[in-house]
Amino acid sequence: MMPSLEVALKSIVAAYSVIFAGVFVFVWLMFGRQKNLEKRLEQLRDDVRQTQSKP
Amino acid sequence: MKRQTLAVLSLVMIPVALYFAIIYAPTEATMGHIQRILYFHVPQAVLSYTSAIILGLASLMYLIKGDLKWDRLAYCSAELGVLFTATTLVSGMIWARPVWNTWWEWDTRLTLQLMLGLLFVGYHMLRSYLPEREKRARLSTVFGFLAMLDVPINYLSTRIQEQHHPVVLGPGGGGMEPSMQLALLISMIAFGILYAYLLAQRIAIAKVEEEVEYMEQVVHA
Repeated sequence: MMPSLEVALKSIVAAYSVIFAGVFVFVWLMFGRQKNLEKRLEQLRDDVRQTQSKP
Repeated sequence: MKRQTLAVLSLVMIPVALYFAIIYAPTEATMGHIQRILYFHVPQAVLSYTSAIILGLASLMYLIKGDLKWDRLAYCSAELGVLFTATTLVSGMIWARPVWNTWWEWDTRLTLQLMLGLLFVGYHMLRSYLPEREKRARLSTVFGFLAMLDVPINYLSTRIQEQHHPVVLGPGGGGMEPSMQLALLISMIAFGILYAYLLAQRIAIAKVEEEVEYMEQVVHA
C-alpha cells in the first residue's frame, strides 16, 4: 500500500526524530552521569587525603 | 582512533547520511517516499544485532579469561543495545502504521526483535540486583548468550518463513537499486561511527564508575 505524500513525509520526520531523540537522550544521560561521577570521585579523593593527613 | 575524532566524524557523517537518504536516493516504486525510513531503520537494527554479538562474545571472553574488562565491554554494549533496539522498533512501527495499517504484527522477526530488547533490559535488571561485582559479571553472562543466540534466529526468520516484514538485503531479498544501496551504505557507516564513539565513551565512563566504587570501599573500610 502506498501512503499519500503527506502521510509519508510525516512518518519520515517522525521516524528520524525518534532516532535522533533516542541518541540525544542517551548522550545527555551519559554525560550527566560522567559529570556526577567525576564530582563524586573528587569528593572521595578529598576524603582519603583528609584521612591520611590526620595524625 | 581517539574518541573526539569519532565524535567529529559522526557529526559530519550523519548530515551526509541524511542528504543521501532524503535527497539522493530515488523514490521507491511500490511504497513511495515512506521507504526512506529504511535508510535509518536498517542501521538501527544492524547495530542492535552488533550490540548483542559484542555482548555475547564479551561474556564468553569474561568466562574464559576472568578479566573484568570483558564484563565492562559487555554491559556497555548492552546499554547501547537497549537504545538501538528501541529506535529499531519505534521507527519500524512508524513505517508499519501507514503501510500495513497497523502499528504492530506478531510475526517472528518483530517478536524476536522485541525479545532482544527485553533481554538487554533483563540483563541490566539482573545486574542491578547483584551487588557483588564478580557474581554480577558471571551470572549476567546467561542473558548475554541468549541475546547473541537471538541474532541468527532473527536474521533467518524472514528467510525460512513467509512474514509481513519485508526482506530486502541478502539471500532471498528483493534487492535494491545501486543508488539506494549507496544511501543505505552511507547511513550504515555514519551510524557505525556513532556507535563506535558511544561505545568508547561509555567504556571510559564505566572505568570512572569502577574507580568510584573502589574509592568508596577504601573510604568506608
